[in-house]
Amino acid sequence: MPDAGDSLPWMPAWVEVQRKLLDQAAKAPGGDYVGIAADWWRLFGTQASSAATATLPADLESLRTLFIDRYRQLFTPEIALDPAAQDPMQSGAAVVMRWQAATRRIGQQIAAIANDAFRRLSAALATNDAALPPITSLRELHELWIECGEAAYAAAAHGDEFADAQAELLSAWVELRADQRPRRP
Amino acid sequence: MTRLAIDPARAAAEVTDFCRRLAAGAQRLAAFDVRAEGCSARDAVFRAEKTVLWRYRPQAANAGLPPLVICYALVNRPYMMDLQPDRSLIRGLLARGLDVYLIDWGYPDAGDRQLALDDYVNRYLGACIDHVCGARGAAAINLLGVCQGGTMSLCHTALHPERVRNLVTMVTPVDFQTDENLLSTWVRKVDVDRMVEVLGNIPGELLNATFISLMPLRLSVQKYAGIADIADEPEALANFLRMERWIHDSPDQAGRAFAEFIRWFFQENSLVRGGLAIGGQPVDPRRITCPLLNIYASQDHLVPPSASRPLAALTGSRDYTAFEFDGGHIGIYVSRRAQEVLPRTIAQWLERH
Repeated sequence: MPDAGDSLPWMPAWVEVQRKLLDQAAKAPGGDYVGIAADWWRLFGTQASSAATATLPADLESLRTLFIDRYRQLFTPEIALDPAAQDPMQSGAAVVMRWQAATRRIGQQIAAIANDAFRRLSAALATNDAALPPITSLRELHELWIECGEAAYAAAAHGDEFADAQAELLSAWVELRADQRPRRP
Repeated sequence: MTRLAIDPARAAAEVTDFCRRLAAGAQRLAAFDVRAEGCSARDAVFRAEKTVLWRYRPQAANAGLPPLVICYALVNRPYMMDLQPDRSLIRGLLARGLDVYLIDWGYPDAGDRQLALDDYVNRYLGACIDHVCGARGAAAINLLGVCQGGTMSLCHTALHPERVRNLVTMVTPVDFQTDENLLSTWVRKVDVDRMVEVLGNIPGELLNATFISLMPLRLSVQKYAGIADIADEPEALANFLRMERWIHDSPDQAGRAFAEFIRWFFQENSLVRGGLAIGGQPVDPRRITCPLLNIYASQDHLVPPSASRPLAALTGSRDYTAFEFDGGHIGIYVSRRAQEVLPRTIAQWLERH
């Protein structure tokens, strides 16, 4: 496997999550995909249990911020630069600012997708179509959330704005890496 | 009105059960060892630098057909073709008496940064075919190209039509700029030359994360939550882990070849639009006149059918067959139905040619 330092700065974290997936899940679900799935079930279980007799989507809305934050973390993990080059005085301020702007831009995209996913989920649950079957288990609710999330993601990801934001994130990171390469005297 | 009708007590029990099963499944997974690369007996019969040509030992009486050389993609590892005994396209072909070879491109390192598509399409693939022809006394081989390896096989066949008797392409992109192709939408915006200039080889993790990002919730959260469903099924857990290992076993990509592939195919779409040249030689798909079997998957999110179908009108072959498999990009290798359908389809088509 290649050196983690050769990949995107958030890539090692992503890959490390995969590698440690089993260990982490067995010990304390919380910070990885399995953990997110488990958290989702726990939190949604609590909410859904009370929501079964309460109004919707007001109760579901209380989960929106949590989901946005968690899914934003999933897609844009923290940057992990070479520690020796993290001092802004050593790095070109312009490339750092470009990187920061690029992460903000993709973060806005992800947040918009999460909001759209939640809107779709709320609409799917609050439908007036009596022909649709009731959701009687958390598993069904989870599947519906995935369906809504993928639909929202696909709607955005095929667009120019998302592709531009992704390309800019990659370019900004490449320039950051270039700036961190040892400088010749 | 709401569709939610979840009983609180049942929800609590469901959550408890889910977390218990998830943890149990994860613990059991940690005990598995799935390091083996493929499951069928084979011999390395030729090497060219990091490229290895494997020949599989026969499992049935020889059908008398020309040797079949499988050209896999540079991305990911070729043992997906022989993942486990009950999920192996190669075993299915061997069972029908085919003489099967598989090209393994290896793991490029820093010394391979300058390898070009010319090296892969002409030098390595050409040397493998030379070896097979020499060893088997054949004038031409049957070539099976998979995914990116299918694109490379098309290029090789266009450049050396006399060496390929029949060509089979599987989930192979031909038109790289169709609307459904999300990967293409993203890649077309990337400054690949600058990327390679700075990074050298392209990290496999980057490609892998990109592929997962095409359907991020299904390929991450939903997939891992599914561990709970198979927590008590050792065989299913082992299958899951084999797939996980393969998915994350992503070789780095030789920088120059990667840049050429992205620029020429994704960004310029030159296989369809024309103007493609590899090793200084023009690649004209109309020079492909051998019989063609084009297999694609109806639900492929990586290589949508719209990217594969245009092959029908691209080549000079008068014997073109399309086969649409009802499944996805991975299911076409490992689903149970694929084990029944694909080896039979390929073998029967080859027998007729």
